[in-house]
Amino acid sequence: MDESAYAILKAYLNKLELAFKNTVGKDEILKDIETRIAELFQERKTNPDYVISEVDVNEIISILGQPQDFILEEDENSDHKETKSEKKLFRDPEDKYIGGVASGLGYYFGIDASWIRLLWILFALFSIGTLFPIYIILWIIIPEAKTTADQLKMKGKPINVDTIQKKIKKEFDEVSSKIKDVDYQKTTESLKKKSKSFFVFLEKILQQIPKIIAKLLGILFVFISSVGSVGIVIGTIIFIVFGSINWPFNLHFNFFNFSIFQSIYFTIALFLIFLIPFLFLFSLGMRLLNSQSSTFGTISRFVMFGLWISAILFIAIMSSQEIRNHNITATKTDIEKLSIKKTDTLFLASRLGDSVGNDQTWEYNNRSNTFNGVFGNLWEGKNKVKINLRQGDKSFSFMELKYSSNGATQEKAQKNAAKIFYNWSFTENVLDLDPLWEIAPSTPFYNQKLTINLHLQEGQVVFINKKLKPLLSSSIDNDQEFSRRQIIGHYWRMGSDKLECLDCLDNQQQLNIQYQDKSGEQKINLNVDNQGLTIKKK
Amino acid sequence: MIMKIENTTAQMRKGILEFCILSLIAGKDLYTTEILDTLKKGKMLVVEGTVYPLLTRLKNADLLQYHWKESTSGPPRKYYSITPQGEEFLSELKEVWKELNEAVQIITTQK
Repeated sequence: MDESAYAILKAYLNKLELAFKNTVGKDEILKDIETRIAELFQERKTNPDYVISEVDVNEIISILGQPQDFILEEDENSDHKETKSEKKLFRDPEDKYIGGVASGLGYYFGIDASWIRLLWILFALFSIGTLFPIYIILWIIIPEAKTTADQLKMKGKPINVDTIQKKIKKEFDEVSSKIKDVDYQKTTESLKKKSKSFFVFLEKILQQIPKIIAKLLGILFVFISSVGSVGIVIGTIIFIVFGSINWPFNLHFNFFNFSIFQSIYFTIALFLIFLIPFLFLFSLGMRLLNSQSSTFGTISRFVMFGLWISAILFIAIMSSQEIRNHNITATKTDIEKLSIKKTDTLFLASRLGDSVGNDQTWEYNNRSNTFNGVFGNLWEGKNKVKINLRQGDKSFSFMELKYSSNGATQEKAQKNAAKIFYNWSFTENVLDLDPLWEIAPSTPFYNQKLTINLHLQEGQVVFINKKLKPLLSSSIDNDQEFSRRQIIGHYWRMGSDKLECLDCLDNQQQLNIQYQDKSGEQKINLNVDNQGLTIKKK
Repeated sequence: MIMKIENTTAQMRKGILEFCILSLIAGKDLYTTEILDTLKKGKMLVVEGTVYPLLTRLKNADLLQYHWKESTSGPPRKYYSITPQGEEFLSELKEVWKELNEAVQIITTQK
């Protein structure tokens, strides 16, 4: 068989397939016809070298007849059939920039391919290239419209402005013929027809507006859901792969102490909770664009809905359990007497930690990963000590260490608090405080805290090393009303209720006497401060 | 609407075609090509394609059945035979045909 003959035959068979599309027993009919064609070829093939030509094929086609010649009996419902004839998604090889995906989608949704291309470009820009694989996937999945039959299926009968217009015209004609049938006076007839037709026309136009809005909404939904789903998928992958990087919603995870499996389930549940609504939105958008398309079957819809509900329940249950773990706060208090004379200076220092004595920052990196949370180093800086200074109301100075923790019950909370380990020493009037407390590795986070209250006896002199600045409570009462930044590096004496500065410049005694004689002309101003004595006379 | 002679004759033929096919097969089991040849000889058929959907329809309605038979030349052939329901259907059609024929005779010859 030569090539052109083959092409004709192929086109003919495709045409038959299309014609019998909705006929019961389509495959059988087509098979019988193919058998017959083979038989007719056999008759022609008088010798083994005979090549079947275009002429032969055309003759055979004329014997069998064109499809429109032999499916007349279905004429009555052919109208119905035409609107029902399904459109298929193909790539158009005759109108393409890359793979013809855009033109195929354009036919499918009845939109000009240029708009699809524009959308592609916008998508590509917004998604920063992540859309490229989607194009490739579509390119692979969508078949090329190779044959005329494919082309017809591809072009189908799109719901677009053109068909809307045709529909309007058809109904317009129907109405006008109805009016014609009624026997009006000839003069009024045309006038009435015109005005009535106009309103019918207007009505039809107005009726199309919701459809157009629906299309636009459809495009919007598909756009949002596509971008959303891609974002969620990529986000989840990044979250899983680079989970230890500080991620915005790690903050929420901070609250929980999950095992590795719990956190995997939690991540999956979160993923589903966000993804499934987008999938439904996508399905809805596709439905709006093409009323025949259904992205998901009934079963998968139910499965998806079920998954979504269970994911929500799962997260709710897990969260409530976690919240229960934080139900009660317990505190354990240790009192340590500091044997020091009040005239001796108590030095508060920090030589224990490996902290770097920078005024602004502490270096916790080496020792702060004591919690084993969901993802590694989320607890950075959580185990910092808080230091308070106050009047002790006793004839000696003492240190109060308050360990506190959350827990599901009082007992558990106390146990959690007891696990806090703290390192300090007091030798030769130097109270050495570690800036960080510690806890056994893999202990869950229960909002553990350590507060150190230094209760100083009245008259106790104290000096605070500047390394302790980040640990100091911001509300240490002092006669200078200094903030913690200013308190460090000075000598203080505990007064009756607050600290009194011993070496602050502003605290120097200042005497100011003004003398005025009776006439009011002579004025003497006597001032004593740290600069010495000054007398001014006017 | 313009009436086309081809349309009308095709419609007429088509109506009778089922009847013809059933009575042909009622006589003896036939395979498709034989049916086609006989029909074409009797000028009942313009294009062969018409027959295939009809045969399938009659078969799906259980009026016909088929079986495969090896042939001496070429692939196995599909032989059609009539079913008991088919026979019943055919006798009813014959009845109607007779009546119609007479009625048409009377009406068309009346002047």
